[in-house]
Amino acid sequence: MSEHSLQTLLVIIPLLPMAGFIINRFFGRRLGERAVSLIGPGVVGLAFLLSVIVIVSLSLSGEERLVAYVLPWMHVGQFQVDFAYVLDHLSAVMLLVVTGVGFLIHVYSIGYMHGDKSYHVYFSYLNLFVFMMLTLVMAENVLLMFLGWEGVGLCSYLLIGFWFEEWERARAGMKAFVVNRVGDFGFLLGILLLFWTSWELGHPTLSFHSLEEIVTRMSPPVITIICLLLFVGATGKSAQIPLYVWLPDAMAGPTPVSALIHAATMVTAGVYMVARLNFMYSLSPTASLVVAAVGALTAFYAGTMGVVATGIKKVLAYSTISQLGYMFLGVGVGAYVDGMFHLTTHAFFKALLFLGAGSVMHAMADEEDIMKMGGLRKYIPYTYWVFLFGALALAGVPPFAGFFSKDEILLKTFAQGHYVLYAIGLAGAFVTAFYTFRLVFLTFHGEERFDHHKVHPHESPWVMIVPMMILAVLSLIGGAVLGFPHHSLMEGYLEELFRYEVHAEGAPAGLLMLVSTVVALSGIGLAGYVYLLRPELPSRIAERFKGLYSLLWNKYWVDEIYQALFVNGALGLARSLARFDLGVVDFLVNFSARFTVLVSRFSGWFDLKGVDGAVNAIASATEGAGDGVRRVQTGVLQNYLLIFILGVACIVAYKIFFGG
Amino acid sequence: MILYTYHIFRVSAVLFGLGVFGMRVRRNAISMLLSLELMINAAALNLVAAAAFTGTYISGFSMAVFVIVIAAAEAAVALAIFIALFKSRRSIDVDEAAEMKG
Amino acid sequence: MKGNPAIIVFWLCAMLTLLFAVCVIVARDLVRAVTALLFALLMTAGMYFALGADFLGAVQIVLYVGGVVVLVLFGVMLTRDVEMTVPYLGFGQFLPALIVAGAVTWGLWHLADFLPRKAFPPVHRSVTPILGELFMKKYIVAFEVASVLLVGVLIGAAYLVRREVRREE
Repeated sequence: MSEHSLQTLLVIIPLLPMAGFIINRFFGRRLGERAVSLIGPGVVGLAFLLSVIVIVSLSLSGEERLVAYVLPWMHVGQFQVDFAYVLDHLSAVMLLVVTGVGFLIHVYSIGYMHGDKSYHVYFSYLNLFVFMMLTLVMAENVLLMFLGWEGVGLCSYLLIGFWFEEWERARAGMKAFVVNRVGDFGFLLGILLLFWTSWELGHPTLSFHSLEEIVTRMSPPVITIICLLLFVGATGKSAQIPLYVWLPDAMAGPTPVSALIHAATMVTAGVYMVARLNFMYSLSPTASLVVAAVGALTAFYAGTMGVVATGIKKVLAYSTISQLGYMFLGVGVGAYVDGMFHLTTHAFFKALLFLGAGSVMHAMADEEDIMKMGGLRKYIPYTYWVFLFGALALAGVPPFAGFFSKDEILLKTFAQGHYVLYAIGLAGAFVTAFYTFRLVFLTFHGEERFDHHKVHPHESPWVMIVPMMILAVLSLIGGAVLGFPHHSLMEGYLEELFRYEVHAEGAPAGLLMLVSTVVALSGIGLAGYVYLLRPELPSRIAERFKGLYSLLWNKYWVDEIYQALFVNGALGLARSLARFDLGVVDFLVNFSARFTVLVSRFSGWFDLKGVDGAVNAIASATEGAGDGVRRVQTGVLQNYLLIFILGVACIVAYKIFFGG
Repeated sequence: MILYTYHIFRVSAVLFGLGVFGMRVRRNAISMLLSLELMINAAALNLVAAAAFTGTYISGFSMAVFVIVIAAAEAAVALAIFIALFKSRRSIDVDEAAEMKG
Repeated sequence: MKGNPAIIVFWLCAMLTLLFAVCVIVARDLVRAVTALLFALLMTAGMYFALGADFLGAVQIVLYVGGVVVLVLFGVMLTRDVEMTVPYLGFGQFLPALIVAGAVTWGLWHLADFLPRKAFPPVHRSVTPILGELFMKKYIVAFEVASVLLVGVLIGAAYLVRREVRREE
């Protein structure tokens, strides 16, 4: 296929979901549910097929990169920003994940959202999201990436608050939006600094391709600052410490939305951004270390909150935050390939887990609390099996997908000598395995804790089960196919792009693998012991370690701290300003008033004695003059105009004849 | 045909004069506003001519844009005032609105 | 020198501008006066184009012709039900106006002699890049102030003409 037709196809890929958005949004109501459920998933499926075609033909043609200019955006002097899409191996991976997993979730949504009164609106937003996400991953420059970045944020907000009639859900959407604003502000500052620095170096640009060269000429401190600012944006979008607080609340949206946006694609945008700018992060060891440390800490920290959460989606949300932490750990230590690899496998198994959770909730009449489930295995066997596959992948049990990717990240961390981060990551892996299987055991095993009169668990329709099965297969074999250690498929595909990719020579790979496996299995074992064999144990432990339990249960009180620090802080500042106004300013005003009264008493006495005569004389003179001049104020606009023109003429004449 | 800068200045002089005349001769506020627009236009034309023909007065272009912007703002405010005036006295004859007479 | 189409366009537009300006002043019907103003402004834009100031011409059309004239037309419509046509002033007003306007024109006419004399073609054939540079560097503050002014004006205008809302209590 010629390069030109490839470019055309590349542009069509994001335009397909855009067209789906327009059709569904504006004609969806008239088209009816059947047509919408054909168009919504259909355009994304087509986009996936096209992506495969374009990527395969690009590989066959031997080219590394394909750039398609759609529109010129800004051309100011030397500085050029275009609406251009780029396809290289990195965006190809993301393209396949977004359209592939996105398509499966779209199909699942047909069953899940069946009968909702805003069915077409839901699909239109989902399509818009895919468009924005594709713009983000295929952007040729930072600015276009930012456009997509904001666009997916908007869609996330719209979909979290999709059932906005309920105040809590609308509030969750707002919270996500506001917290993301904080991060995006950092991101924007980073872009501005990047532009400014490149401008100072005589080559203003924001295009990734030319930045790669410019960056090497920047001074290291500036690079560090830019990287950190951009990473602030990533902590917002990818829910890392300290801006992770919105993601657990974001579960208020429909479950497929959680799967697509808040697990598989949007939240990984931060990781993708760091990988995309790997040439910058590699030049700044400080920024990379910050990324890795925040990632590792988040991986463990979020996991601990997952241990006590009781909402099925809440647990998964914490695990998403934690897994994103692993990805950041990977890209932070320089293992970009493994970060992207974990992103891909995570998209498979976490989407699967969310869809499974949706299926469970579907069966349980929208019950989310796992304490009111149990023993569901025999009611919804298909869901149970696919969920188990996802859980094994998440826990990192070989040969499931999560094992390979997570293990590679930990291996590279170890090989780079970050032993503390490795230990934190390993602890996180243990916690992950524990809470994942706590979730599985509480939901599907043990005694049935739900009310049989109210809830009749039933299996979901095929349109929901089949996508989950596909994802389950991917979760099983995806890791081994893409990333079997030593010259994996993923590494071969991406290594050209990451010039600074670190390798794990000399590290005891086999031993570390064994350690990871043992840790994962012992986590599962502990969960099995506690929740299957000794079901009375959890409440006793909670009783015993009351302080720790309530710390975790209340999510470390971070929400409350933010509320107190920032929300109340802002209000408090306003209040103290008001108090200052009332107290100090009013006092000053009153004081000066009293002072004036005093002075005027004194001067009044003086007036009476001496000044009055003189004042009266001046007053009558003024009155006389005013009476004369008053006639000039005729109130006739035209006369004013004349005088005005006369004045201007005088000034001009003066300027010409006397001024230089 | 020839064209020198002073030709343009003279065109704008005539335009400005017409504006002054219209301003003086009409009593309706909106008519006066129209004449005012003519005068502003003449001024902007001068700025453009000076900037286009000489290398020294490049700023004239941006001044002209500012003039146009200010004119738009002025028209908006003027019309708002006229409408408010009309609401209160059912007329926009400036001779009748002479409370400012001293 | 002769036969340059830009010069011909300029003179044509200049003459039409003046013609329409006369129409603005003498038209009895306000709507007609506004329409004449519209054409006068359009012709001025034509002059800008002839002088190579294409961006200014575009601004003139969009902002002036599109914005101001429509605004004025609204004003005419809203204050129209009393006065359809506008009476002229008497001869007593007419003569002083003629004298003043004549004097101003005469002064400006001869003022041109004091200014530098340059022939067609203009030095700057394309204005847009210069303008971009000026607005983004030298006049950035003025540019921002103008934007704020426009917003303020819009709000202020809306406030002035708002309908009083009476609370029923």
